[in-house]
Amino acid sequence: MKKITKQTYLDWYKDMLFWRKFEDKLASVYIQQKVRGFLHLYNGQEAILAGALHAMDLSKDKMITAYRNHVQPIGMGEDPKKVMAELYGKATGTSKGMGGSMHIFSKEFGFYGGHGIVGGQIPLGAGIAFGDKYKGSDGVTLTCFGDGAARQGSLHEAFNMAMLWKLPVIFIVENNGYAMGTSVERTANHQDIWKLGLGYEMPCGPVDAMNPIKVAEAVDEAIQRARRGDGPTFLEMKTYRYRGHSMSDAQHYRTKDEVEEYRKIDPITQVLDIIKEKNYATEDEIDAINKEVKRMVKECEKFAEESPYPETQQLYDMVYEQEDYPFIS
Amino acid sequence: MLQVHTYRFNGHSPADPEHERGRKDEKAWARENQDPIKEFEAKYTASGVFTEDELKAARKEILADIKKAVKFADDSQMPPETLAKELEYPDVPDTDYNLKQPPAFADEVNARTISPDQMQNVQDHIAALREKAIAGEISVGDAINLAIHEEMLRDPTTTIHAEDLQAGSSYDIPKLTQQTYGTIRAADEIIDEGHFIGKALGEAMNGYRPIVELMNTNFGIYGMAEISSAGNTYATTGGQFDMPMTIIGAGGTAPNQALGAEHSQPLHAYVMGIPGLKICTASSPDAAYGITKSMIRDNGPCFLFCPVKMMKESKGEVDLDRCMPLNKAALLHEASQAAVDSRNAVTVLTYLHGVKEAQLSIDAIKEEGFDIDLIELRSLKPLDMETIEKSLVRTNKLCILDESTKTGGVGASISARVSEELFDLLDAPVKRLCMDDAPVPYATTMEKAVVKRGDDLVQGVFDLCTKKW
Repeated sequence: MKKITKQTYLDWYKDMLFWRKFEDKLASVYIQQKVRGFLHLYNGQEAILAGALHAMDLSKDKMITAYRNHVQPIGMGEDPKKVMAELYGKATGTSKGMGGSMHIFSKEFGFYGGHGIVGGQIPLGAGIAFGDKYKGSDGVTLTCFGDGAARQGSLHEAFNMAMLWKLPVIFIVENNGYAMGTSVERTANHQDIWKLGLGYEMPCGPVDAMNPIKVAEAVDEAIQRARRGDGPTFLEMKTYRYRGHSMSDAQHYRTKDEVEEYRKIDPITQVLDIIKEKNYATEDEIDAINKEVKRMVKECEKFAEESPYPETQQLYDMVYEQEDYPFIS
Repeated sequence: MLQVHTYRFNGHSPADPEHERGRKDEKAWARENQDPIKEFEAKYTASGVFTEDELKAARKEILADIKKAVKFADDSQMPPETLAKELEYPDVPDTDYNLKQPPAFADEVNARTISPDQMQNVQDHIAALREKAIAGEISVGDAINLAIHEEMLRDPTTTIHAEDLQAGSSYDIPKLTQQTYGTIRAADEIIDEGHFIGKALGEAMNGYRPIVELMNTNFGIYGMAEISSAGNTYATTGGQFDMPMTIIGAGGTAPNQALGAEHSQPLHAYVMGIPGLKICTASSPDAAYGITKSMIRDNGPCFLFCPVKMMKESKGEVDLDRCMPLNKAALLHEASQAAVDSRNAVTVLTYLHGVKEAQLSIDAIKEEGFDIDLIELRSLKPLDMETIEKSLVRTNKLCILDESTKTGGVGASISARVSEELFDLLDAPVKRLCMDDAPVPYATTMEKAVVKRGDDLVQGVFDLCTKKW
């Protein structure tokens, strides 16, 4: 794995802060109805992405996740302006306005979506890895899902086959404690979701996912295992989401005190504290980063605002590959 | 969990000889060395528990029994042709659910399982909802919740399952159920529809009456096998097992809902063909309330769809304590006699969000000089052809505002039946205003084109009456 240096921390701070502010911006324009439908924000979970990206080789590794999916493609290299444009439903969006918040895809940067149905992406992730194994590439697929999705039968199906064929896949459960409004305690007899791997003799374990270093180390070990041809790993990222499940979540299922407790271990704050402690940057330099992040977010907003809406005909042109398919207007 | 090591002598089934290639020697060995009956005989004759003669006599008796069974099967009659249709539903389509008797043990079980505090709480909750209902201010979601509480108190074998149940799920449909009836009878579910619909199947076969709330009905796709199984249970068991399951969800596709393709699919169309299901839609609090009550009392599997973007709407009075029929459409607006006489009236069939769209376009239609008999289908299966016929006799023109796709949709089924059974009443081809065969896009401009709405209805009525087809 690349060494974790002063620059790593500075990059982590800037990236995680940008993702946080990007999500916040989406929340505010959602209220203005510029973004519609469902909106699921990543606030609090940034260290998972920061740590994973540090361990990944973006020239060959891939990622798939569910619908809390705005910042992952950005982290992997996609243009954040295009992501915001997609949320606005504009023709310049990553899916040309066809998908919206839950369906961000980036083929160019190896991000496979963007899926609305809980757990639906788990077998897909195994399939992407199967493709790489078959091709003989040594790319690895990170297949991410939530604690709610961990209860889907398709998880077991994918785990079994991934172990049988030693697929180059890392299964990652982002356990933020709540499946929509239902806590893990209410729907399981124990809370160590990582143990689901034990029945398949899959290497598995928990990770302190408010700390990007721990995430990077765990993901790196799993990536090396997969690249060697030794098959899958199952990592439980113990994380937290500061906002609700989605924008329409009244959050009756948890107390404000609980959220406050978790804010004390905000991953962005943790990284900033290290930067300050080790004097990796001056107050002015940190300020400059904050300003730059603000500017970048504004740039995304402006691009999305000014982009045109898609032409109606587009929706018919994208159903079948054959041009002028006769049975569609 | 027990893993039992065993062997099977024959193939998976007689129909797949291919599976058995290369197993001939293995099977021969197994028959010799892995036969539990052979082993039993050898062991217990060796130890003197049985004699050879005793075993011989037993074998003789068994063979005679088998012969008897085969003779019985051979001599028995074939079932009557009509049986399959008769076994489609445990309760016939025109059942009056108001006449169903509640179980005699209800009060005793309630007293035993619900504490005085809990009972007081739920009665207060029910009273508050009833007040709202009388004032015409109860939402669709709350109306269903009211019906559910009334039925769960009436029959203690009624249970409920939903994701986020204790938090009220998405539309307050299961509100206060867990706090009243406990965590098993009102259970929080994992996000796996296949699992909890399957579980409800088992529950229903074992004497309980499960209600399953799906949040958005698109998620029901994960439970298609189980929904299908529910539909088949009564018939496939020869009527031995009822299947009193009620599935409720918010679905359809509102014009401009911006939820993306995976949350905009017409599950009501997908399940329409499943035999044994009674399928209804409700776009108002009174229909939601009355239909929910009936469905819970029905002994077969029933599926209620409500419009996902209208769950908080609250127009209309609710006929409290009355169960609605599950096979009747509702005439919401009648075209004037003048319009009928001048051949300017059209029968409009619709459901879910289409109801509101159609109601809001009546004025515009009248302004153009036309009028409509607006019929809310309410029951998609069985279909109320009688009400449709009564209206077509007046108008001779049919337009369906259909919240499902052109291919394989609800409108397609209705259109075919009307054409087959009421052809002589038609002065024009049936007009379907349905969703295009394309994944529903997120962006508004495109979504508008796919999902038909009030404007399209005004145009459709105009076209039918001015002979544009």
